[in-house]
Amino acid sequence: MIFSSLLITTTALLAQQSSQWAVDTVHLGDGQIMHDVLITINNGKITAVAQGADADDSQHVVDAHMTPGLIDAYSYMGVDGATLEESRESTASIKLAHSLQFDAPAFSYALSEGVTAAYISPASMNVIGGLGCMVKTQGGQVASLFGEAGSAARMLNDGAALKITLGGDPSMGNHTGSGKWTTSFTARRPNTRMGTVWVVRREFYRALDYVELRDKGQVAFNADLEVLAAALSGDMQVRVQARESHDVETALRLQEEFGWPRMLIEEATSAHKIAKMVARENISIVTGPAFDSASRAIARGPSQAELRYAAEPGQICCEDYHAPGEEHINESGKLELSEFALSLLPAVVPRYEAAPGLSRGRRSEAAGSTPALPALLADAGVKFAMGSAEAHDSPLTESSLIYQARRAVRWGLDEKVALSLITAVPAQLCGFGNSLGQIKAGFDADLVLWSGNPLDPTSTPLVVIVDGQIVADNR
Amino acid sequence: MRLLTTLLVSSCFIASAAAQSGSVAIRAAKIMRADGSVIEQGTMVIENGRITAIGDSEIEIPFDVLLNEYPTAVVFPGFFEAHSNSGMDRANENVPLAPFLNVKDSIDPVSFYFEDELRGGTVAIGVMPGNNTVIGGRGRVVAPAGMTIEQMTLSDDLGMKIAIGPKRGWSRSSQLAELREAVDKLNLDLRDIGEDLIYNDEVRADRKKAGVDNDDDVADGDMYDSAGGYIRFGDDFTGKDLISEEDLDDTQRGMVDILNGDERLWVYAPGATDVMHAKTWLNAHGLLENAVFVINSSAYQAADMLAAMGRPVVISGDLWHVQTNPITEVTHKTFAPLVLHEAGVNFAISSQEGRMGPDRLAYQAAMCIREGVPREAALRSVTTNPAEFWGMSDELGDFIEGADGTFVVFDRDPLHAQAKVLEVYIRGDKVYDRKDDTRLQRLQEGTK
Repeated sequence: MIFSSLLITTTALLAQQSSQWAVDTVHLGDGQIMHDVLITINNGKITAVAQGADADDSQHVVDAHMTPGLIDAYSYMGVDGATLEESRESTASIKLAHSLQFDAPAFSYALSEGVTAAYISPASMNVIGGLGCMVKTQGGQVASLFGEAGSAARMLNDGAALKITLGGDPSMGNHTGSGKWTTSFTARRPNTRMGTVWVVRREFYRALDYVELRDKGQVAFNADLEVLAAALSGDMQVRVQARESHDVETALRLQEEFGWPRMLIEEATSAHKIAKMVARENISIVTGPAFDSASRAIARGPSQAELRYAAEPGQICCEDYHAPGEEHINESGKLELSEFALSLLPAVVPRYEAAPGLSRGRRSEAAGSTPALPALLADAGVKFAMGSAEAHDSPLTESSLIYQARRAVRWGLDEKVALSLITAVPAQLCGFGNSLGQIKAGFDADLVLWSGNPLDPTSTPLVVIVDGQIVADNR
Repeated sequence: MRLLTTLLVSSCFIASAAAQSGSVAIRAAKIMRADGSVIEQGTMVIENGRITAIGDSEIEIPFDVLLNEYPTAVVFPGFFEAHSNSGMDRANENVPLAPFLNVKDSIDPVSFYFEDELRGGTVAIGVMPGNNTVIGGRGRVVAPAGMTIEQMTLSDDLGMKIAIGPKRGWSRSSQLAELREAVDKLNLDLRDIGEDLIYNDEVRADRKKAGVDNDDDVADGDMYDSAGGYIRFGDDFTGKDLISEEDLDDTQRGMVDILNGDERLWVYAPGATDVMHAKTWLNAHGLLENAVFVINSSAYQAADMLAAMGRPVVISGDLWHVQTNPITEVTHKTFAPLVLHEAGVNFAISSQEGRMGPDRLAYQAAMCIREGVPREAALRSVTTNPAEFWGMSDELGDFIEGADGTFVVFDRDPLHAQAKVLEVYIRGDKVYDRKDDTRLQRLQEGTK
């Protein structure tokens, strides 16, 4: 009774929120752009998107751009405490939603950068990590923190996808143990990539057995195996974190073995190497951030200086410092290095600096990556969305989601495609393709008004609207 | 006929030989100066590493200088990193007092840092010892191109690092105590050395010969003070004028250079408190006029004090200062360069510890504009201001006749998010060409 009356209040609140926005440039989210558009909002939903209409009571915004609220397809924001239950290698039924802190600062940081919805993932330090959730970054009444999309709930889906991690992370810090320590926490398995796959297969074969017995009514309910069974039947999306290209191939092999009708690859920092195969197999990807403070990695190969001077060995000399205005006299005092010394140079010169910001990942798993990853994936025809991982945990904006898109554009991605990768595409990949990520009649009224082209670094969000209500206003 | 061929061949040879290194002429769609003003269809001539002419298309190009034409590009002086600890293996020695150090011995010319900076259009970097020190040593200005320090060096006289902000693990009071102690110890040492020299037989014999010494006034300190001596600071004491460089060790010599006022001092004062302590210490030794303040964004709270001192300021690291209310958890962000600009502080941006990868200076200058700093001031903070702080205004930072022939060719406005560096010239020599940047190509195409 109490709950229903509160719900009515909520609806009543929303009903008052009928508004119109007339905007110069509207990015619809699916890659299309419209000009001079009137957007009508009712009950938290977009009810009409009309061209050229002029309404007297509308708020007309000159020179501004409007986009759908950005959707962070891969994020760790707002989790109170650790983002993973590390005590076992398979924790399939654990819900990250139960660790979520709705008033965490990360949500306001994300909101101030135009992110209105996010998929929040368990971390990667065990093999089967549990269930990630899909949330809005703002809005929601107390009684409806959990609910359907468009109902003004914050929590859109508390069991959005099952996280499985391949690669080096799940075995990081584990060891087989020695002597008396074999039973300690740190002595747990897996210790290798193959051990990680072994755990995945072991768990899913248990789930197959469980399904068979469950259907015959011969086994007690098991929450973990229920989740795995849902993954097998396609009721649950499987998100496999795989950074190296061979990890992605492993994921494809596992999918071949177990079916997994709804599989998504996370991070895929080196997927450009096998982009054609990924496109052919019709596998979707959610990339990690193209750049953040944790993503700097060592790139292999000699430096420019070495390459240049290796090409022109005669140029190497030890006293070529001259004041400007003086004649260049390069001929004297030149110390020629032998070819042998030159061939040694790349090997003996120490490396101290990180390469330009590469895609996220532990060093060894990002060495082959490139900031051009989004552009390369798009060229190959791979369906993918972008995520920002930990970026929104910090109020500093330089690795926020929109910045990831800006950087991808700088490295060759088409602007329209870039915007769709943080709006319509992540909405579809996260299962909200019919309610989020586009400016379209019937969709949630999650909108961001920008001071200019959102992909221009000089633009900043002026107004953020969630479920039709203004939640941030910097005009 | 044969003669004609010989003539032709030799004239070709002469023409190619005459196109010497360090000399180049450019004609570009736009030549953009450091203040943002643009010469449309501009021409610039560089001979022997220096700019000899700049102007519109009317400028005459000497016959022996090769002409490069950039019909669609923007030529810009490039970006200048006022203060950086990068490009060295480690930025600090583990002794707190190390005025004898020189980054010359630590810079790694083939470090990726320099390569990345060059790729991003940075043409000069003030490399200083790190901030985890009390007195850190001497720095130098280098170009991010060259295989040896000598090739890279633009100026070997950048100055000395003094940190007021505490060393890692130290408190502010122990940091300041260490600094005061260093000066006190030097003064005591100098007095000991002076005494020793007075009673040194050889010195006395020399002085007797010169007729300037007698035993009676040996103890009278005033007798021997000398404004023109090696030690030019502090009170007079016995034997002050007898002390020469050879009498001191490396640490003492470095300290004397500082206190004599011979060194530009890069004073690391990260917070507003540190700025105040720095001011006190510098004033006590009459060294304020030598100081360049290296601050973090949190020192924006001392903007008025910095403005009143009128000294150069380098903002290091993040440009935003973020404060969180511990009770409400509401964060408040302050854009430090805007506060400094509005207070009238002459500042430069240092992208060190920034989060932006190789194109950081351009991005940070653009961000300054976005947050309300006028475009001219933002550009100045990454071009002429660093050059001025280095004492190299005549050589670096802008296109003026007589300055270094250093420039960067961009495909559009240098502060545009998609701007690409096409070529970089340092002192008239091409040091970077995007076409030959194999590592960049590898990143763009992805490693196979």
